[in-house]
Amino acid sequence: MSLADSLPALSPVARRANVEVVTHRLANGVEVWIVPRREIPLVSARLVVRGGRTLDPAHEPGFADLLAAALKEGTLHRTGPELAGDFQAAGGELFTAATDDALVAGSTVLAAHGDALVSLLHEVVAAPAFPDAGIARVRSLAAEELETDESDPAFLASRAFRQALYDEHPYGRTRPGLEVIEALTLERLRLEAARRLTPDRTLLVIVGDVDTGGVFRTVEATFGAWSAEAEPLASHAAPAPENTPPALIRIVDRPGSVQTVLMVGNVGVSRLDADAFPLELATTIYGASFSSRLVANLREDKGYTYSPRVSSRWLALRGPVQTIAAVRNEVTGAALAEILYELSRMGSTEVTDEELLRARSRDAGAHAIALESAEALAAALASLWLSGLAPDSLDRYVDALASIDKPALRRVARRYLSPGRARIVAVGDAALIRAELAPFGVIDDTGP
Amino acid sequence: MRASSSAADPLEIPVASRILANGLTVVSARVGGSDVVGLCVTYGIGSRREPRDRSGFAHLFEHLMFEGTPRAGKGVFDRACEGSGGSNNGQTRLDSTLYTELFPRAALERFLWLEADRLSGLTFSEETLTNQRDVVKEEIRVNVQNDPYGLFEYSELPRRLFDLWENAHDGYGDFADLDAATLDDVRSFFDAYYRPNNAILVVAGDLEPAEVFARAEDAFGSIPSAPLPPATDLFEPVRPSADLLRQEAPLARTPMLAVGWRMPRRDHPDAWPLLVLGELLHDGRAGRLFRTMVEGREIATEISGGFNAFQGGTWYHGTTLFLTRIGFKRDVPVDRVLDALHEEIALLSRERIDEGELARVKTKIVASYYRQCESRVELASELGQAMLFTGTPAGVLEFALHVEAVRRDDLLRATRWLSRDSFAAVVKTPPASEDPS
Repeated sequence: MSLADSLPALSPVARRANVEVVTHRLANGVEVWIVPRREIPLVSARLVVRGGRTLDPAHEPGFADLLAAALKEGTLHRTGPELAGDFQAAGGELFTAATDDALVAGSTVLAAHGDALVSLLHEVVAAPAFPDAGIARVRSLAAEELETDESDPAFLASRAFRQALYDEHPYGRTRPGLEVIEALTLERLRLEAARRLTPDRTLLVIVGDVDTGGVFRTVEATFGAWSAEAEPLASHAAPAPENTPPALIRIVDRPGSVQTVLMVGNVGVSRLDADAFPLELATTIYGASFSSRLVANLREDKGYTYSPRVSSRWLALRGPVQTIAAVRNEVTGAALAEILYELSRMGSTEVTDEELLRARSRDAGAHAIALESAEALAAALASLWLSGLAPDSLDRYVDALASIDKPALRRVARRYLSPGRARIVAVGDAALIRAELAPFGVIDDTGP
Repeated sequence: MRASSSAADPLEIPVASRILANGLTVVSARVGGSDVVGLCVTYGIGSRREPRDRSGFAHLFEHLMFEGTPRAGKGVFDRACEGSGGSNNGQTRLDSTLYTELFPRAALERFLWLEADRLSGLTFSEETLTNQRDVVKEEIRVNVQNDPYGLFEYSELPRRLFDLWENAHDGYGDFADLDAATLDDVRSFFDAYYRPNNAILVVAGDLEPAEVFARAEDAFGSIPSAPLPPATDLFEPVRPSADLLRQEAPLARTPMLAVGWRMPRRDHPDAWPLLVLGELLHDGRAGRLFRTMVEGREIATEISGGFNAFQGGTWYHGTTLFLTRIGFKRDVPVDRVLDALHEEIALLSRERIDEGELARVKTKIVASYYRQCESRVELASELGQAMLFTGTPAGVLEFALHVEAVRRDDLLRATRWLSRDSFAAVVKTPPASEDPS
């Protein structure tokens, strides 16, 4: 089968990620993964501490985000502005964030300043100071950012979708609301920092133009002295249950919208689940790639949307499998019908040989492309560690895709891409789109 | 702990280039360490020089480049690309249009074929024109009309800042102009600008330059060149007055200000100092504006911007803008925000900055650029820009030297381009009823 006469054939493609990771564990429990790379004179470091929003108390959803932001406000040895200046002097900028599963801090600097990067990151997590002015700034910026984001339809959709999908489960939490932001105190920050930021829960990934022996010495000299006096934390929350029928629709009213942001999805799998790779390929064929069925239908045939986005997110527990599409108001119902049709088709018919081969090649290629920059490679390795996997899992990705057959795709699609159990969120002008959505499921008005 | 040597080394990437008989510039950049290849074809046509009554046309045309040719019908490009383990994108800039791919080395010949195929001719179908017009409108709805601020620094600020239609108009386009576009427009745009002598092919990866040149010759060598349309000068001198446009943004909840100034030509001695000033003012928490407006006065909440903000580096024809974008608190009048901005710039025009601060900012600029060039497709894009604007790859390889050469006195001098008497600004404010104050 040929796509076009005279299109040149392919030579065999390398199957391995070609990433050599040197690993080491400090006496206090800090895991260190190092990948030397010489092409560009940069060093990237990413520090992850297990437990993100999943560790937030039920009455403080999103606290982890505030803790991550507060880490930028200074250390016992440097004020916030000094810290920012010192990262800048190394060529970088301090990045901190909370995710579902972790607290993250990192930066990328010129190779000559790699030592400074390691010791600055150590200071940020091992010796944070939470000055009064800094706490006030965290509160004020978080509140302003929330206010701004309340006008962003993509943010409104993600927040409502996570709530609709996960309900009380910690993965239902997104950013902190105003009441959590306003209640932030020094005492809470100190307590949670001491509880969460401990060496035995930490991985440091360093990728770039480094000499491995030298970087280990620097890490020993800094992180080696970080002492652990923490109580053991509760393990992760239990996995969220899968959705049950019928499909539920939540409308978030945004008067004046010229488009509806549609989110459709189900609870999926964790990376460790046997269904993880089949689901990855199934979503690629359904909508996660540019040559997918959903893009061909919604964009290239109907012209309903600029770019539908589909992802099966690998979190430590069961992550979401989701479709997002922004469509003009008048095709809201028509676009949702096509999304549900394509989801349903994945479970009701087998994919073609050409689709399967293309998806394998596409995902293998995307995997290699995603590891291109030092920062992205560090993030990919950190994500493996959070799922409890070793660095050589990177090399097994392509082989894992190769062993998946068509019946496996159909089986996972029926389970995780099921339109009949989907949670659907529509952000738009409710007065204009409500009638469009009514035929597709039960409209649930209990949410925000 | 570092393996290599000093702080601001030039990039050590072997680059070779040649020009084929039909005028196509071919560049090979040798980067090891991975099987991934980055490819960029840059055409010397962007939204500034699109036809006058066809705003948004260069971008609409970019979409049509993915929609099929006589040899490879609709859908083949994306299927062949992803079926080879690759990914692709297109980007319409003010002065150029970029077509980029990332793929495994083994697929080089196939991607060169795909690029050469669409430079040899498109399908020119009414159906795909209608389809992509709809898609582009959805792109404009998602990025502009349904967004609280709608990229107003890109779509509206230039209209206030510049006089020449080329510089002032919105590259996303008016819906009426998009609707008016015909297949004849598509054909004549293609014939005028999509020529090998208006194109630069860059391949960045672990490949022998000889192989890249030979395969490029095989794929592109037979495509004929043609004379290009004349290009007018896009330079505009400093704006003679200041201008602030206040606009209500019905979907916004917090106010946002965008300020722009007209910049000197790219080879003016103040261009690189202005690039450094852009970083000095806007670089995150270490930037002057964050320190004074977010931390100090506590009037602003987010800061971004810089020199030539839409094309990067010093890549532009004629003039460009220096942009400052400030999100600020609802109870703060916009005049106070503008005053604070002008005071900060005035300070830079009066006092030499500290050597340490200048060194920090330069280091950050170089590191950020190297981060960009880590991506092979970004490296290929940058080399394409360098060849387009200067005819040599030196601007990429010696980026650090240009930054290093900027002195404190250069900054003092360059602030004159950022005067309080020559800016144009647009402020978007939420509807009054939303304001609790």
